[in-house]
Amino acid sequence: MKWTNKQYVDLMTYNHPERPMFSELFGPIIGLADEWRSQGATDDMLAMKAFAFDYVPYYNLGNLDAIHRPKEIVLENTDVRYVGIDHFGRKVRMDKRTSTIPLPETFPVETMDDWIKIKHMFAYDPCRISEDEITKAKLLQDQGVLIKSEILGGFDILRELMGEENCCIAFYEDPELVEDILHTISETNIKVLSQISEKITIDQLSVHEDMAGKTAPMIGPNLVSEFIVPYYLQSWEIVKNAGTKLFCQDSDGNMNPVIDAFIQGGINIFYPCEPAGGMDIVALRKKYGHRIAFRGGIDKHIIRRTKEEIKRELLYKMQPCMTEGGIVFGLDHRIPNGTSLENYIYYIRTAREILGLPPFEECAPSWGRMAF
Amino acid sequence: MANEILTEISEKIQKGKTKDIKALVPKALEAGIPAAEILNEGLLDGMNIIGIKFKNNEVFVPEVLIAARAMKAGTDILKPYLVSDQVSAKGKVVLGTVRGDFHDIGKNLVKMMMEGHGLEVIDLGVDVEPAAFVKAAKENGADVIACSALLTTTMAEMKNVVDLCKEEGIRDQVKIMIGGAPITEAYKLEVGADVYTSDAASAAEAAAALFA
Ligand code: B12
Repeated sequence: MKWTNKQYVDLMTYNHPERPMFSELFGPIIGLADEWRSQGATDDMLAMKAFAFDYVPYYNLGNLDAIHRPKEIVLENTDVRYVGIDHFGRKVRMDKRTSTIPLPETFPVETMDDWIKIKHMFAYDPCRISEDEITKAKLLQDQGVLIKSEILGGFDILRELMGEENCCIAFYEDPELVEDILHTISETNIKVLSQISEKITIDQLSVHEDMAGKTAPMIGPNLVSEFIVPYYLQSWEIVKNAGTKLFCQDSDGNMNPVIDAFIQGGINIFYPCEPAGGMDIVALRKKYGHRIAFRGGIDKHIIRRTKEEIKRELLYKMQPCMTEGGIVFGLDHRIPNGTSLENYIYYIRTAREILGLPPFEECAPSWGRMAF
Repeated sequence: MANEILTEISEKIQKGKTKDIKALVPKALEAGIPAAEILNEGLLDGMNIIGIKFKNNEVFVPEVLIAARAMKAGTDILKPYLVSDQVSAKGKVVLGTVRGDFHDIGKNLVKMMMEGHGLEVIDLGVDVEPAAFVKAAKENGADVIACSALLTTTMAEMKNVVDLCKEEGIRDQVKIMIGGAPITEAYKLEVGADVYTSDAASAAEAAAALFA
């Protein structure tokens, strides 16, 4: 079912939602379509539409990303391999059989001088937001489309510019550089979000970090509080004062040690809550109550196992304390390879049954990515 | 006196103070402390403590990296002395991320932690063919092959590494360790590997235990 922004905001703020939301956030991992085709999947199934997923259409307002980037240069592009120089001047490569995101092998920023050379890409520029765009967003919002703006991740952008290892070291050995990067970006965020908030209340502020692995986040609560929280708050305060209710963070992996710190930074939706990374939405609900909401939370690995295990996972994740709101139920990332179509259909059927939703076959086809 | 310097070295390692380490290690040598003792009771002691704190989520990647950097500065100074004293690594590990997989942050931490336990690590990088693991293990007389995989689409390569070790007749000579986001104890049993751990500090402890 297609939801409106209002229904979504009510759900995520525990404001008497009409019913639970059950979605597929990301869609299949690369290669799964071929597996499913050989198992008899219809075109509608391959397009995810057949399963009558809930979704809310969304629109991104303003451009807070790097701008005026140099053109990408393709060095090699075969059926299986891509090598190129990307818009940050990084050498990237990709194995098309296993990825859709290229891996950077070199990074543009090591020193303050390097940063100064590319700083202009992050500065304020009138092209980042226009009156026309705001007018368009208002119209869409009135039609039920969720309006969001997205700031760059405080850790994510440092990693993109410096590489994980150098950026981690820079927190200790070159904090001025880290601060200057975040300060520059923050100034831009402040200008653009202020301009937006004068005219429209956006429904959600989003931020992408992807900063955790299986057992821990890459940086701990001390560095999050010192560097990232002030950066978040500068943007969040602006939209919050204009009435925005949701601030959503995207990070895979085990974020448990930094949740408290990020709550201080205004985050109230965590996603995708990866169980293989130790994230348990039920335990988090018990700990944090209605202070935070989630998207995802269902273990993508379980649907490759037995039907009993699928049912057990769903009964646990969809217990009454979870269905009262504050969650979009869905797998915690792309549907993994090796998931049989039969298991996937069983997963959908069982979830809909537990949530009291009609069988998908009786509903109109629908799907929209919910990765925002 | 010796104890004091070694404790100080360990503490400076834990805080990642490279400059201090560069001053303290020569001072310890001048004081006549054997290089092996400086290594084990100073540098590696500090790294072990960082490992334990990392496992308990008390410190995170940046703290491990600066500690590892300080340790490297210390071992670089000690190297000529260790060679002349004929102190060698406790064991050899061939490490890499499996074929098709480019994730390397976890693998790099495993390397640092293993080195912090006095092991020699031959790092083959990412996207490593099973044959390359086996070849490197043979050429270097490695005791351990350690494979990292972060994707469900690439984890099956670990079984290929195990199978190839059998085919090439080295399965009895090497222990095979596996880890990464989708890996579990059950998967270790399924592919017939020897050791699985969920984090890098435990990986290093487990590897070091093989040589104890
Ligand atoms: C950063 C990241 C990336 C970066 C990698 C950068 C780099 N240089 O490595 C980029 C953006 C390039 C990337 C790409 C992709 N990624 Co990625 N990525 C991640 C992320 C967010 C963090 C991984 C990480 O670095 N963690 C930090 C380290 C410190 O933790 P760790 O890796 O878990 O390692 C620890 C332990 O596992 C253990 N360990 C690790 N190795 C070993 C080895 C041994 C022997 C032992 C004993 C222990 C051990 O010790 C480490 C330290 O304690 C994970 C999320 C996650 N949950 O892991 C997704 C994740 C691994 N990625 C995923 C995906 C899908 C992809 C892509 C396919 C996306 C795409 N559309 O293209 C590509 C694939 C690229 C390829 N072919 O390899 C999925 C995999 C899902 C699946 N079905 O398997 C994950 C799990 C995200 C998710 N929520 O599902 N990714």
